[in-house]
Amino acid sequence: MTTPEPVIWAIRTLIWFAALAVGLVAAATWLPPYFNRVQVPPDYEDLGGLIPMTGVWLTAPPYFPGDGLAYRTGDGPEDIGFGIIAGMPGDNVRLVGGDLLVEDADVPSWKEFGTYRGIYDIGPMTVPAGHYFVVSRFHQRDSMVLGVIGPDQILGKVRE
Amino acid sequence: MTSGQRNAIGFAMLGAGLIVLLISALMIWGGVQRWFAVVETREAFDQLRRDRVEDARKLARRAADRVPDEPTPALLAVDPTDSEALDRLVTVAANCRRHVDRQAVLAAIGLMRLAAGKPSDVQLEGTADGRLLQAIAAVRAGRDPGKLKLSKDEEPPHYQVLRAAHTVLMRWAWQEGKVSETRAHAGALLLLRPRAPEAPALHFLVGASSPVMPEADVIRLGEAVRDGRDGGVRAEAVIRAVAALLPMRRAAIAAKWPKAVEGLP
Repeated sequence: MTTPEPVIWAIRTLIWFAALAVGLVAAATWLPPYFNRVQVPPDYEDLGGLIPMTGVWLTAPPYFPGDGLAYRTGDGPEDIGFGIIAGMPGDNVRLVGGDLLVEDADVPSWKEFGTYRGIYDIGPMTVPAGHYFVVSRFHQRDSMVLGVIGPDQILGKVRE
Repeated sequence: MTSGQRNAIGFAMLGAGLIVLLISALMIWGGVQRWFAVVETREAFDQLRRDRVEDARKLARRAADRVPDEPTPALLAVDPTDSEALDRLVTVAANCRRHVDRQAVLAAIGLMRLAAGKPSDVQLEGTADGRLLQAIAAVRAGRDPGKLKLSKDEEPPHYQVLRAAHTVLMRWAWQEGKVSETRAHAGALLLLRPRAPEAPALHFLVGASSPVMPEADVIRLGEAVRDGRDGGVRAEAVIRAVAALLPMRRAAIAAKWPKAVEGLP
């Protein structure tokens, strides 16, 4: 017994629509993070490699120590900060003798960032869940000034 | 194939198409609601950054009505003075699909119960939130909370629980005259929220309790407290409390603000 032609047509049409729906859902889920782009503010000089007034592509999590992170520092379009992730959620952050220690290990290149407003020993503080402790060269817009960066502020990871 | 069979297949396909159309419409409606909820939640966060707590709660409540099972708008919408808010959070916790979301909601429930003077009564064993809530409960019961050292093996604490725990424990250590613990909690709060209204006072306390900070710098930090948003009577109280906690700085503070140390031994 052969399958009637309209049934084959119906099954084929259903498969095509199902594939289209799966493709659309997958694209809507995975693609937006790869089209995330922000502009470096005009006066920005807090992190090497970022040129003011140029666009920067961002990617989605996961984030790791040493990654460049872009985040909101206010409501305006130019209120954007960039920093290097020094502390991950659950890490203990403290200043000892002017050095930034994360989990009792020195943060590389911390010295160029300077001290915390004249205080050489402070903490420890545990970085809360979903938050990151970020540092940048002159502490203009990093965690020393803004506190830990939360999920509502994070824009994405700076693409290499 | 007879015309009857053709008609049957046609009607079956029409029915299936209508069902698929209905499901699609429901999915699209759900997507639109979720989209509005995301926009409103984002706007609520913006309002929170501008210290407009009531506006943030209104927006978050609207978002929570659209997506009742989502924890973020539900948590943002919570008014600690509203007794029904706790019941709503219990429902949200029960419906949370992700473990991390459930932990966040349970931590908020525990914190709200403690703030209302009740036991936290939430299952948070093996998490930093659980230990922090226990420490807060110990202080509220008048017991020594012990040293607070969070382990790397535990799930990290949530922001509001950590902030509340450091605040309660700092106040307790301050009242007990434990300088190093007061300093540790003040330092943690300062690292957590360096732009908070109370940051100048915390900075003054951390600086004054540092054995290496010159007196001139300590006085400068004290002046920042007086010039800050909480200047006036509250600043006087902060300076007096720091002088009471730190006898080594009392002479320097007395030289600049004699009234702040009046009556202290």
